[in-house]
Amino acid sequence: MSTQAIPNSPAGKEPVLRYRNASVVLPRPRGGDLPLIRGVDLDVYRNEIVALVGESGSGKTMTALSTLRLLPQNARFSADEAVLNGHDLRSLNARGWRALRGSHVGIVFQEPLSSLNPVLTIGDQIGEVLYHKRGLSRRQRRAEATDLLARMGLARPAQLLDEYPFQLSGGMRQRVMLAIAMAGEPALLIADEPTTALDNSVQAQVLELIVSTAADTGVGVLMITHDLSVVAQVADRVAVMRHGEMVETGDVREVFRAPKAAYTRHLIDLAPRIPAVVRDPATAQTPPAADAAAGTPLLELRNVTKHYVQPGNFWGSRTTLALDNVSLSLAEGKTLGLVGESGSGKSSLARIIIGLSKPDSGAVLFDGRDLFGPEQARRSDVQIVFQDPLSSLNPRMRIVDIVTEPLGEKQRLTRDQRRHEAETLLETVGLPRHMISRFPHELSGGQRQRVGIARALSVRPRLLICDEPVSALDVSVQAEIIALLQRLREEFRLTTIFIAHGLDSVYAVSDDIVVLEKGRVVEHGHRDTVFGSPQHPYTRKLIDAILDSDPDNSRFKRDKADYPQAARVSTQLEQTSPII
Amino acid sequence: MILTAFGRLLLQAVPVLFTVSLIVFILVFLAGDPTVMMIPDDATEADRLALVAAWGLDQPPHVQYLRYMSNILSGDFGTSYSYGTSALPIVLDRLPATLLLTAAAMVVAIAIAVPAGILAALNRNSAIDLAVSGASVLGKAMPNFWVGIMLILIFGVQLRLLPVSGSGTFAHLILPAVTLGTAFAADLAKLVRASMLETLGQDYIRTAYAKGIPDWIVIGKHALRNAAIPTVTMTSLNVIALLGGALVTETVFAWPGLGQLIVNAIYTKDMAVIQIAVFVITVMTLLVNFGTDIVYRLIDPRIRL
Repeated sequence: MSTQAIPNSPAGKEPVLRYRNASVVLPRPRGGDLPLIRGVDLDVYRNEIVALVGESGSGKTMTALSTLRLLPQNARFSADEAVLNGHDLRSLNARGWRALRGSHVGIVFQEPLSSLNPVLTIGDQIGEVLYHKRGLSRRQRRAEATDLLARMGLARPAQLLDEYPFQLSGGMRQRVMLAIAMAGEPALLIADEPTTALDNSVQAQVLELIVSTAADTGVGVLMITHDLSVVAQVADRVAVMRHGEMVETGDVREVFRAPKAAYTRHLIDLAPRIPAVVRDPATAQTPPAADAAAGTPLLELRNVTKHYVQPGNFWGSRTTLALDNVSLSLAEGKTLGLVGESGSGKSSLARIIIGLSKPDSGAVLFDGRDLFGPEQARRSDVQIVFQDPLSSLNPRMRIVDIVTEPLGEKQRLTRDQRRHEAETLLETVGLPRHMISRFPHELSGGQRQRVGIARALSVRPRLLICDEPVSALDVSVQAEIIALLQRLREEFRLTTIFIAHGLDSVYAVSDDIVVLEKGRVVEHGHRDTVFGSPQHPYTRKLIDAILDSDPDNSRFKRDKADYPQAARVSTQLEQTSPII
Repeated sequence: MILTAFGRLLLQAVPVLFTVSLIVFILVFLAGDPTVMMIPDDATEADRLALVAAWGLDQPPHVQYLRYMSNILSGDFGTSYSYGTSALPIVLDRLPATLLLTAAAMVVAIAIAVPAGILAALNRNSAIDLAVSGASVLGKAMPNFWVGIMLILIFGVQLRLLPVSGSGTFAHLILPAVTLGTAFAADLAKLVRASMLETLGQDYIRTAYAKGIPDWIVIGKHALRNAAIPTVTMTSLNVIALLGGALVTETVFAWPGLGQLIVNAIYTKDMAVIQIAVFVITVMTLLVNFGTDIVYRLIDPRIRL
């Protein structure tokens, strides 16, 4: 596969992937079929990146996995046409699929740690593809794997071959996954939410790598994502899916400029954005003068330091510094946005403020009283909403018990009072009353997060910590939850700490921003000041990593000025001649 | 890697052996005056007291303990009352038979359980899975002595293929090893099935299938190695249990292992033999843990590094 000039018109060319009226159905246990995807038409050509966008349950991942037949057991695939690099997918047997996988199509999954085998070396995991797909000898495998890792931008590739996945960072693991996917020199690369589990700045690097890999090898890329800014940045064409069906397909610029389907428009409108005026230092607003009148802040941290001890072997253990001399204060009624990459100490700070762990030194004052002093402040004044609404709700408890549990012991409510209280709470967070008798697994992700918020509100806290409250949710649900939090903040006169790695959503809700790097506060100020004229290089790095949801403003894309026809051809499906 | 495991062994061994010696001493002390068992029926009380004085049993406990410890440290583990000889060789004589039976039983258990568990996991809810589950319930439900007697009846009495009791040849080993091995295979097969099922659902197995490599490599290399860790844990626990002697099986097949020796020593209050047997079993347990540690490290780099 050599680098070839971008063809002016791929009309006469065969796409590497071509689906016509493709469907996947799952037989229901009690008869009947559950359609996972219906009537999907899709083309991916060489040298192009097609983004498959949709929310959870839209069928985007099913569509991608069907090209490798990695579907759930019993699932049935059918199509009028399903061709991958010249192979008819409908007529392949198990042996045919094995031959296809790896050599014609490679895949990169979302979670780079769990997708790599923990007990095998990196070299082994790449090498087995080189052996089974390209028949390389041991020595050739080692050389080729080293070369692949180097091409994926990994330093000291030769040593990496003998290391294990757990020794690498998230971004490095994803580069290794990409090396494995490309080892068999496939014609089609599937990237299933490849950067969702990564930090923003790492995300940009991995996206850049995927774009450059596609450019260098000419591989056709099908990129699955829920993030429209990723689409805008890397895709040539975009296909929007909803409820298992294709809603809209087209050139990425056209779709962003003039979306045809209402659903696409809805998605584009929802993406939270930092107003351009803020990002432009020339027009940066002067921040409102600090309310000097404010008396004692509601929450004050003074020189809080926290170490974690990692139990090592018998000869010693390692301590990691989670928080280093953190001081900050938060006035009543304000919202503080806490940003930083994973490992920066955001969650450690949250755990200390709600009293789940004790600082090694320093003081946490709530309403003037030390949270960890002899005369403790009321713990129920501080409540938290967690990131993953499913795992933070007890699966064996009904909603009524979950939301009233914080009240239960203290107030000795009768059954009816509990019920009434729960119904009121559910109404407050915008859920129907009858849901109180449900179990968590019967609710959707957004509904569960509402339950988590209701639980936190049940004791009428004064300070609410939201620890990545929306990052596990779909885009449209994210917007709803953020709107709900905004409303509740006023209704309950809450002071809020909002933790997130998505800077745009932090900007949308916060008054002040604290930027944490490796446990240290590197910047603290009004949101417009911090985002408008960041002082610290780390803040600047975080802000630079924000991806613009404007396809005309892509930092990755190579110049495609001479490539407009490709898009047009593939949106008008009938023009391309059927192959085989 | 082996050095770290060896360091752990040493660090474990010293306090464990010390504690065990203390417990054994207390038990012997509580068991009362051993001279009653040792002297002939027609001996006078004066004779007995002389014996007590000669053995130092009239000394306060801490003096007795100090002497007991110095004896142990100098390698003197006492004399068996019933055999009249040093207790250590008596116990060590039985050790090879026990080790041999343990190893053979584990080979049988693993040879049955690992393939059965893998097959059941790969064919979940199929006839194979049901058969494995059924056989494993049956294996668990049948008492050892009954299985032993049935095997004797079938292979020894009816078919006359194998010797029914004693030891010495490979043929003698087969029936007791199968009796013990099938019992452990029942539990082990269920565990292998469960951990294989869990492993097969992991993301990295999907990655392995996506590579297009042969299925047997996905199962044998990618899945089995990850599923092996709980299996190793359980096998080592079973080995430790067997090292204490398999009394029932030893009795049925007249196998000269530690189990019979210890039970006889308990009946005759032969304290020296009991003490030394407890020590030997403790040392064997420590060695098995050491071996398990090494196997863990070979399987899982996250422990090794």
